[in-house]
Amino acid sequence: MSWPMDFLRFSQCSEALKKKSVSSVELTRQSLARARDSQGKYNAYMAILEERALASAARADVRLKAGESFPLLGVPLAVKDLILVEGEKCTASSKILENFIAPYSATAISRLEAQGAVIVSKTALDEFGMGSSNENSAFGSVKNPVDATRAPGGSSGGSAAALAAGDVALALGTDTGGSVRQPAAFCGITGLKPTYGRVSRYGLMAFASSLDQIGPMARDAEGCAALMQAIAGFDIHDGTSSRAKTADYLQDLVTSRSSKSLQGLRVGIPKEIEGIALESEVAAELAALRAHLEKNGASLVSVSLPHFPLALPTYYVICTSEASSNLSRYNGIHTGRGASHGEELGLEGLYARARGEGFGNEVRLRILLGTYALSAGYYDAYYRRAAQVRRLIHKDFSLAYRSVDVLLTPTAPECAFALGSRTDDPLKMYASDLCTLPASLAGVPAISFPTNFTNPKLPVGMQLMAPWFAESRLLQIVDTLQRHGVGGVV
Amino acid sequence: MTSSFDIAKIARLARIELREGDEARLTSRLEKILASFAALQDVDVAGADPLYSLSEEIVLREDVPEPALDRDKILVNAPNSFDGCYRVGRVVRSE
Repeated sequence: MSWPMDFLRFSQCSEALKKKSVSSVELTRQSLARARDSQGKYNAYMAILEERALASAARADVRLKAGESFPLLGVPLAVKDLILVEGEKCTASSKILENFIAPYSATAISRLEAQGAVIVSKTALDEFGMGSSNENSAFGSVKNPVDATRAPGGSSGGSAAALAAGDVALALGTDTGGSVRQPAAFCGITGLKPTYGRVSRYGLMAFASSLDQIGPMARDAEGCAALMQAIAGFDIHDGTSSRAKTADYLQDLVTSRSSKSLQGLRVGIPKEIEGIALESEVAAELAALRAHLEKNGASLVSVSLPHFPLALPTYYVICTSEASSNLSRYNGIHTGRGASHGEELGLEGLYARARGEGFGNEVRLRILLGTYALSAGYYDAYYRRAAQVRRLIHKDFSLAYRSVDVLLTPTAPECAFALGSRTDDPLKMYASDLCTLPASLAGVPAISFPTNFTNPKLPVGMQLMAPWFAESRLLQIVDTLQRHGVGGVV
Repeated sequence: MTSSFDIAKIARLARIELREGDEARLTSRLEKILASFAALQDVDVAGADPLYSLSEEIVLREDVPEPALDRDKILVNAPNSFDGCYRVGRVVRSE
């Protein structure tokens, strides 16, 4: 029994487990072995949870034998190290939480474990989710398995790399401004940012609370649907989680396979994309995907989201403001290593030293920026104004969805860039998220999936955005495209 | 909108002790980023209510006691604890 290629996709794992051609323990052992091997090459992991994984796999095998049939039962899964798994370290890839042990599990994790998913690893990220390349980790950059000289994207770069390396078929990421989608694009996998409020944030370390969402990542839309099925839905422990009914994501996907789900689909193309300099390979893939959609019965509609270009400053004012507040809890007393201190520092001095020593460069930069934007005299000009522009962006989406079913853009203006090529220029780094930020600000669901019409040298990701709570629509469309062979997933 | 600011003051407000070289490096980066925010000032936001949260309503759970988190599991993460409490250095100065 060998892992290579046979278990890259969720459906392959799941079917083999159901047919009993492989046990969960066998599958998990192979996943662990691959993770250990790729850690030396790509540095994608903060931890490989051998003991926990084998114990849950053994339990899953008992349940499989008893005839239980949850879709995720016995399937190995990687989890971004910003999501709490009880009893395991959760570092946020930050020195300040280097030894933090999660006192409870995130709701998403409890739900996945209840369904028998096997958590095999915690994946590396840009510290606290702040970055677009995984170079802001306190524990070294993650490398892109497609080309190890390049960034895997961020901040869920470890999860994307784990999937691209073929170590797991499923992973959880988190997305604040594109952190599931952009690494999915850079590593050639599929990733969904759900509607804000669709997945509980309980047990997700907060970066920017009005934007953060846990999202599924996989080789294909079907894997994402299986994860969504388990993690979506109301949670009393998250005051912002939605009571709206969840879809049957997997069943919807299977049902759509019998119909020509692209026939009559109205795909909006925001004309503001013309103002973004796209790398030639990305532009070529976008043109080819448009042609493919039209050939298969979809109609392309030019739409305008006039405030789209303002998403970048709007996002960075809002996310840094929220981060400065959220991260104020890390003070070196409740968690952390403690500061190198003497009593002469006083209490506030102790906080300042622990935070100055514990946070990395980008996190300190963003906390300072957010503190400034919220400070007396600047609050109205920055934070309040950004929130007003966010309202306008939200309205743009509402209006656009009156005439289209989904919106299409590239996920990122470029393919994976070289490691080290942007670390000195934060604005250039931030520009990688130009296409993903608007959906985050509006709170709509958005999916990134790979395309390969023109044989690009590196993976290219395309993004579809749907109206609030229409995740199923995105999963169905991408599943249909992937069944056409788009992105190489057949 | 001025884009220069007092980094030492902001760092004090943020409770972050600056490191050697931070002042110049962070000031130059922050000034560049703030300058890029200028576009926000030109937007006509008349009539636009600030959108701070996307939740239609904030849901609170019923006010009934539930098992709390295990104190030991929380305190294990403190650099210094004693007898079920966080322990910090003396914070009250004697006159």
